[in-house]
Amino acid sequence: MEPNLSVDFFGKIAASPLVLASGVMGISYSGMLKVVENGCGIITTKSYTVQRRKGHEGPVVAEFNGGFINSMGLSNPGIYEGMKEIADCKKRCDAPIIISLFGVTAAEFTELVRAVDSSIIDAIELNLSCPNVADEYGIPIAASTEKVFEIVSAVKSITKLPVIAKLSPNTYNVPEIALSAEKAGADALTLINTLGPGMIIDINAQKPVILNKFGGISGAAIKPLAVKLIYEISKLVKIPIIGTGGVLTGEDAVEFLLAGAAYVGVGTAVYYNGIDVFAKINAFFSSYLRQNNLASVRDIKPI
Amino acid sequence: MITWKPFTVKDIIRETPSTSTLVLSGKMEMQPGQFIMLTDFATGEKPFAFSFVSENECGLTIKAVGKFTSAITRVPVGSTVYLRGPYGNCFTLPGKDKKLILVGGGCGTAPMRLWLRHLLQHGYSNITFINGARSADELLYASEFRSYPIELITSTDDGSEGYAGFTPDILREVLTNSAFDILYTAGPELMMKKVHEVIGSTPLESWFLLERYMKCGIGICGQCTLDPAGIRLCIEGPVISGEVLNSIDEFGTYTRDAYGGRKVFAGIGCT
Ligand SMILES: Cc1cc2nc3c(=O)[nH]c(=O)nc-3n(C[C@H](O)[C@H](O)[C@H](O)COP(=O)(O)OP(=O)(O)OC[C@H]3O[C@@H](n4cnc5c(N)ncnc54)[C@H](O)[C@@H]3O)c2cc1C
Ligand SMILES: Cc1cc2nc3c(=O)[nH]c(=O)nc-3n(C[C@H](O)[C@H](O)[C@H](O)COP(=O)(O)O)c2cc1C
Ligand code: FES
Repeated sequence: MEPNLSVDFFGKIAASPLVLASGVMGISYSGMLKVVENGCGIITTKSYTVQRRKGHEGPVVAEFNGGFINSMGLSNPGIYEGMKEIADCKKRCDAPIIISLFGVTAAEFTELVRAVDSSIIDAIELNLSCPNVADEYGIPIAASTEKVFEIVSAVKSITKLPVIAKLSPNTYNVPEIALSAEKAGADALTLINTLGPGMIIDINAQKPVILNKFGGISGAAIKPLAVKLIYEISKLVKIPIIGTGGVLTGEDAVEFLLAGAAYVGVGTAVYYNGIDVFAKINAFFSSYLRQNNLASVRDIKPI
Repeated sequence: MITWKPFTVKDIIRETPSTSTLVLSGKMEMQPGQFIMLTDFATGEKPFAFSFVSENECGLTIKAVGKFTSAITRVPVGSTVYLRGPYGNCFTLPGKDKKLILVGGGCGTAPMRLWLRHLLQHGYSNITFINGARSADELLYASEFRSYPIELITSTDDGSEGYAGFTPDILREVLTNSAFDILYTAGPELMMKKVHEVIGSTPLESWFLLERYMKCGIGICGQCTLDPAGIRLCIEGPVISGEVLNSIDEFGTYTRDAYGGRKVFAGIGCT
């Protein structure tokens, strides 16, 4: 029998537990469709703000042995343009869509949530953590249990959609933040956003390669941190976790499920292993399930 | 691995009032049609196609249209710029007996020139080239092209040199008088859209060099996708076949700006 990769996502069926991470390919409707065609089960859009943002001047991406850094600067056309793009995607495919929202205050988040058309969106992800804009707004909100509680509660009180809190790894108290989000009513967590930010200097130019100097670290380098936080936090909370951070291969994805993730986010791997990385990971899921005589990905139980 | 290679600016040739060629010393392994990301690690980073490559030099022909292109075409000779790439797909050499027609408009003539030189180096002899620009002083490489063993047709929108008119109209005329096997074109998108219409249902094979707003150049940000197919121009492009373009409904209609929102093509510009 063909192993079953499909999973439930808040009452909808997703063809695979793989989730496109926010900020990768999620700008145009055709980019989102392309990812679904390549085997991704659930889409997360680029993080939207109320006003459109141009983002930073390049170079905005760079690489080092073992990882990747980016400083896109949250470029996005604004939530209203974004909703049109999502509608165009939804018309053409039935994969669940998570809309990612970026704000700094509870008021900003609730304004964004009011602009969300809940008839075409399957869940809301609150980006509580982007390190690239921490400088502009002071301490990242992701480090404050009170702020996270306040924002999640405010959002929960005005929407019926499932609310996912996406947390930053850049604070010592991620487990407490996770508990605080759960207490405020979050329906799921995404762990983790990019690490850092970090810095790479070009030795020929003797300048930082990222024009904005610093960039969030993603890719292989952050994987052990993601695994540890998923493992630790999945034992503390009852809500499901979208485990994200450094998943490049099928082996990595299985490792995340074993750590306690219910879904597996994939971002930077699109660069390392191509747009068909989702299909490659799905193929590995199938062979892993067959090898272990399991019928469904849901039979891969957390250790 | 993403790495930037340093190149010394050996010379800057003012080709036209708005367009300059940065002559870079150093070798770049690349194929015609591919592009690179160019930066000074100070102003920004933008995509460009090569206009020539040789054993120890390469050239980028850049039209000053904004902040980065104005700054980079004014750097002092001797300064260093940084390139990553090459990225994207490329033109492929056709059968030797094929009759080829090249159409370059505005700064699209830069990558067409590289392709033309490549074809001539590989012994192709059956080449017609339509080189168009707004006016005589915006025509690129006019005298160089005259020295090549090709059928050269020069046109300007205002008639200040060569035929008066738009390149797609000239193409239509040329196609009614003689038959070709393959067409290659680069230039303003509205020009290419008309070229695509002129080809219409003829059996002419065609290849278009497109531009979209590129941020990462490596297929991750999703900024450069073509609707509705989701083709990432930085990976699966920038060379797209006329056949594929039949199903690209944004072609000649809209593009995406720095924000990722849709922007309708307003008039014939560089993009
Ligand atoms: C594959 C490819 C090859 C290109 N080759 C050449 C070339 O050989 N010669 C040449 O003169 N130009 C080329 N361009 C266009 C060139 O990249 C833009 O003119 C340049 O980025 C403008 O930057 P700016 O800061 O001067 O202008 P801005 O003021 O930022 O913008 C002016 C216009 O340039 C375009 N543009 C701006 N940023 C980008 C970007 N990151 N990617 C794509 N377009 C952008 C937009 O249409 C914009 O409206 C190429 C573009 C692509 C995608
Ligand atoms: C180019 C790029 C852009 C990103 N943009 C966003 C974003 O807009 N919102 C967000 O919540 N996370 C963003 N991220 C973070 C990813 O969603 C993900 O949490 C992180 O990269 C770790 O996963 P990965 O190693 O699989 O990429 C971005 C990451 C990259 C590489
Ligand atoms: S420029 Fe980022 S995907 Fe093409």
